[in-house]
Amino acid sequence: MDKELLPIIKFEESIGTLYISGVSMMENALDYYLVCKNHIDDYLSNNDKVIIDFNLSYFNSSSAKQFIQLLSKIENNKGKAVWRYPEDNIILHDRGRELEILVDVEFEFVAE
Amino acid sequence: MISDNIKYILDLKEEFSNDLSILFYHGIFSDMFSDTIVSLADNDEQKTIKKKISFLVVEVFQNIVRHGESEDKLIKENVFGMRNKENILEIFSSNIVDKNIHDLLEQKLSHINTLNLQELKMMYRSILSSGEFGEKGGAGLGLIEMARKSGNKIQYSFDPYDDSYKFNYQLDLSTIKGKEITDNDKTNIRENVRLYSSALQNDILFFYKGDFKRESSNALLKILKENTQTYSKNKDVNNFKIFHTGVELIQNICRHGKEINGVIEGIFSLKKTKKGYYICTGNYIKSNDFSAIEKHISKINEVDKEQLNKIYLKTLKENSKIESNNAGVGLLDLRRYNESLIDYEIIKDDLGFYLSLGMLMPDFQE
Repeated sequence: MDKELLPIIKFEESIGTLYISGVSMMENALDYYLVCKNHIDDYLSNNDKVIIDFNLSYFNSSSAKQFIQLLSKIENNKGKAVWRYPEDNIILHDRGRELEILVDVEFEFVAE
Repeated sequence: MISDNIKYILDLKEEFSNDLSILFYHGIFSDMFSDTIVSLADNDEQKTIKKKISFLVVEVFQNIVRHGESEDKLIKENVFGMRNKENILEIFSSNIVDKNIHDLLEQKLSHINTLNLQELKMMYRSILSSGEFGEKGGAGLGLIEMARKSGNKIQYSFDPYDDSYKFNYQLDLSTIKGKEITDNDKTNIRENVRLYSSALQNDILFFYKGDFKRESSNALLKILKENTQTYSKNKDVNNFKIFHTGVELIQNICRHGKEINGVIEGIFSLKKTKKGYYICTGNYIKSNDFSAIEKHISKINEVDKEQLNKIYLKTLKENSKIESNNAGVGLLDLRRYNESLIDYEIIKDDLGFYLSLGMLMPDFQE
């Protein structure tokens, strides 16, 4: 697989946080995020909340769709999202805001 | 009415209809691209052929990197091209050299082209053992190796360029093991000089016609990713627009392109225009329902920015309920960021419906 096109994904069980960072521009985002979805499901079967921590410099529309699916798993108070973006990058900030509008999940925006 | 940009794509489709793949590249030349470019040469060549292609591409790239790094004027004329025809791969390169280098190259190339493979091997060894080579490969070891590995004479030409010369050369390689190429099989270098010069004059930065299955699409994305930073001087917004437009359109072909004889044939081109950058693609579509596509695009073209945002969000939300890779919002997203209309044309030929799409990414001024 082409690493340059994929995000770095890490799930830290001890703090219930899923980290997604780098770029996310694969064509087959559905397959790629399946593991993440399973992680969240498994974790939520024994725990209350999951934090999804996004720190992306680019994502394509196929990934945006998968993010909605991931986020919808923590709707209804089952967690929150952290959206990190470079301070001067309006586009990335706004693309995070749009995801926030589409799901019922608390978003924390962090300019870095 | 067909836009000039789309017409250009359709003309090139026609021109290269017999090529399995063709690549025109006028951007950053760094060794790191060689592997990516090699993967676009594609096809199921045998390992030994693949190794040769890889060697030759790296060597040609290095020559451009070596000779084209000093002055802006020179870099502007650097071109790399690769055409994969039925049984032949042609690797083409063009860069500016000064008069001294011209004289030296002329002398070496004319000599190399008189030698057979055995003689080339002897010459290579004798230069190595005499230690006559300088830092810039002055003894022409690279050229000898190119002639040896390609198994064919190096086609070359020099065209006057200000006080210097435009140095064009072409390596022809058989992609079938054990099969030799005759002079009749080869494209004369003058023909390729004409083609590539025309692309350069039309401000094409990148052009690819070939397979768009996942591996090739990913290779294109990698090339785009490395180059986007340099295409635009205006920071994040312009870079994002160019890159995002490229990604979505390339992946659209990968996803919706029609596979014919094991290949999803498509075209991707990026060019500079007075108003900004322009990306254009072309491919046969899987669906025969071309009117649905026309309707979809014309609807997107009709709505204003505010509505576009609303439709984008609504569609993304709805489509996220469906399990597939397709978010169905790619074109909507491009239309709202670029704030320009989607140019499109659907034509029908023996192979099916061919969709050409184009979009301007206007230069964003702060």
